[in-house]
Amino acid sequence: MQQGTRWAGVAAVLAMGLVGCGDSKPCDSVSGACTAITVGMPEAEMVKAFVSAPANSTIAFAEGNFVFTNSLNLASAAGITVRGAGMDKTTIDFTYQSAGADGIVQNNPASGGGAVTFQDFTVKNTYGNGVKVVGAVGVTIRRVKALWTGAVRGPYGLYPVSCKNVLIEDSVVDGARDAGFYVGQSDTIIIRNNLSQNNVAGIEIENSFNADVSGNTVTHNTGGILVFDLPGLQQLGGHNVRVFNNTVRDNNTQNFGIGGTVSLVPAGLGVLVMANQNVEVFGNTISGNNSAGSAIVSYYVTQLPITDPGYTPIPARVYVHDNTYSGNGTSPDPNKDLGLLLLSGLHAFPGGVVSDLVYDGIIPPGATNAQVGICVQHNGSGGMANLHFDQLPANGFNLAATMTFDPAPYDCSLPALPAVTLPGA
Amino acid sequence: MRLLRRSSVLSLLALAACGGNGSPPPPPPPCSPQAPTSATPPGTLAEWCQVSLQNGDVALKSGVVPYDLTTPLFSDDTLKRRTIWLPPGTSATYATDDVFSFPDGTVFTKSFGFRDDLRKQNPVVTWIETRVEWKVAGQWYALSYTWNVGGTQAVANPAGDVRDISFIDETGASVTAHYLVPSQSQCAQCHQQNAYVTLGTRARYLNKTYPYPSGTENQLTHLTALGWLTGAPADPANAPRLPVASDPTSGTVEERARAYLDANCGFCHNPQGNARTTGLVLWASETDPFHYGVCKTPVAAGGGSGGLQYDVVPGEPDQSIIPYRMNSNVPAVAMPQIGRSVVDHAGLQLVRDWISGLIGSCP
Repeated sequence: MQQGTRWAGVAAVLAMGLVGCGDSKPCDSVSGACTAITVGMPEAEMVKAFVSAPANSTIAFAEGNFVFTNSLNLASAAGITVRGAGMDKTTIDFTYQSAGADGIVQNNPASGGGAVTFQDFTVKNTYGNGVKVVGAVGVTIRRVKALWTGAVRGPYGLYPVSCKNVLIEDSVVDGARDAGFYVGQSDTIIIRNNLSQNNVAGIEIENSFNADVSGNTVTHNTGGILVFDLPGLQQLGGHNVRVFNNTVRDNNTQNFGIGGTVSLVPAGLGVLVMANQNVEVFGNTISGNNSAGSAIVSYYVTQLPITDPGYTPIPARVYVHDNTYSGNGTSPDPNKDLGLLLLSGLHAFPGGVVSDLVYDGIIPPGATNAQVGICVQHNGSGGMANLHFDQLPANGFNLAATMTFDPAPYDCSLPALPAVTLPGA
Repeated sequence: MRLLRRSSVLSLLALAACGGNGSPPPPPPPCSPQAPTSATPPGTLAEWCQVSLQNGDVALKSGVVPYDLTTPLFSDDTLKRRTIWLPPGTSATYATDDVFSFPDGTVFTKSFGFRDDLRKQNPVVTWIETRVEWKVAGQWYALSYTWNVGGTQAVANPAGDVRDISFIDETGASVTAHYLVPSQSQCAQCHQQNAYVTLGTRARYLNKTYPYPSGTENQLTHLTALGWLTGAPADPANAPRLPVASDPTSGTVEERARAYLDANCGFCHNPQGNARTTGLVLWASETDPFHYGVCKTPVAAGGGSGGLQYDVVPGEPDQSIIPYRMNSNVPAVAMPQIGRSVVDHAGLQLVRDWISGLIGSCP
């Protein structure tokens, strides 16, 4: 009997915690359950809001700087929203982090996984990833900035993985050591109208299905937009990715990645498609990327082993059309193998500048390009080069001896890929 | 209204904070474990009536059963005491590889304490926390209760915290751990797989003897005899058993290293775990060398790779990412990601020895 009353008392305390104490203003415009996080709250109180957030509730930060020393693990309940007062008004600051790897992380179970929303705040100086979500269905990240200002750099800024229905818009990532925006092993994705700068990779779509990457400004990264499929993962066969109407400019930052596939990317690569099927790259403005404006390559260029029998290392059905290129490929980055290769053959490119599109030319034995479907049309005068990677080793990696510039085999079109639609987006 | 509510909370907190120090604690009221019926936990560990601290060690209430594991998770060199309790008339169902299936009302506790000096026969143990995991209506819940200085009371700590604790290790060196009491949602980082699961309750971890007060007996046999476990092989020799990583007589270096990685990494690095997205599977049952790291490039490790190319390079522990991360205490480099702030030198040496003995090379 006594135990019963005690339990009820604790329940009341926990319920109080949800309502929050102090300034409730951040919750004013929120419908439904909401916990306000206000300046001066102890970390433990703020963490409690994340720990105990019930389904479909909101955690609302006031304007201000909020310091955390430990990862913020968000409860796995469905439909939680974490919001601030604005991307430049609320900062969730991990500069003094001493435990946990990531900034804000939610492990949302795949079975019955629910939605999660992050909006209107900056997450700063995490050791690991800025915002990481695993296994959610319905991820919305809107007007969120992931920012690094010091020596510590996390790998990914905004990082949904193994998710379905992902929308990232009007957000900023600055300073990530791997990819600023990274969506991996996911399905049905829209990444639009974001700014990605000073990262190793600007935007990376990896082992994912059905993605639209549009209207983004991608600048001062090592590589701009990467569409990758990698072996050895649970979800293989990345396909149906549209990259359109983006500005991919001056991505010439020296690669400061440590390990991983992205650390192989030479500085100055605008758009890179590796080992994906069904990719459409169109309407982009690609300028001032010093290694190459764009590239289509197989996984073989990484020179890494492939032991995965279910993996397709060769890209197919990639349609690059109606892009505007200018000032790319003038000085490839000699610090990475691909850049060094381009630099060594620079004199052999027409005009002594790397063609706007370079293609490794590797196709399955016995196949023709008509079957593989690499199509390149209406991109202006910068041309394309087939590097003929398959012939390079026999030629002592002398690019001048292997590459060809005839556009005719690739003068083809592919049906437009379907637009990605998300409920409510 | 608000003021009134806040003051009542304050007084409750004050009560919680004032237990213990000063006057001797009142004797605990007699109690017996009760099956939890709510997701909302009591505010103090005592209300669970599962364990208490007596004479510097964890004491079990009547009916609560202790257990341990073949190869445990390393947790900053802490001493751990684990207990299980099932409601009367209920039982768990055995599984060969998977976690056992437990009935509603099941309660686990795990207490973590630091020894002052690992070289001592009878060290002084400072108990930090007791974690409770319980099942209600098919759902598991977990919460840490942290002990006060006198060890007289443990209070719910849903937000967790980090504590700096110094001790003397086996070599006589002074070590300071930044010990993490996990927040309730950090529990989920390891326990939340495709569903929230218990971790240590698999046959391969439990299949060992334990010195019960009634005599030493195999844990699977003991739980079966209690009526708490059904479906286990009559002879434990027919159940899986993980080698004891620290005991060279229990398996080859490879078997023990894989056992160590199973217990210390496999809770995330498995096809359902939080690290399923990496493609690195560290369960001992994984048979594809690529998937347990041999010549496997990392996917999302970032700086955690230390610039090394592969998780495991045969014959080259210094070129392998797994020992690199085991040897780091830096957040986002250190593995496991949470729960370890000091290096497990013995575990690291075992994994290095295994890699040194592997034949082959990577491209």
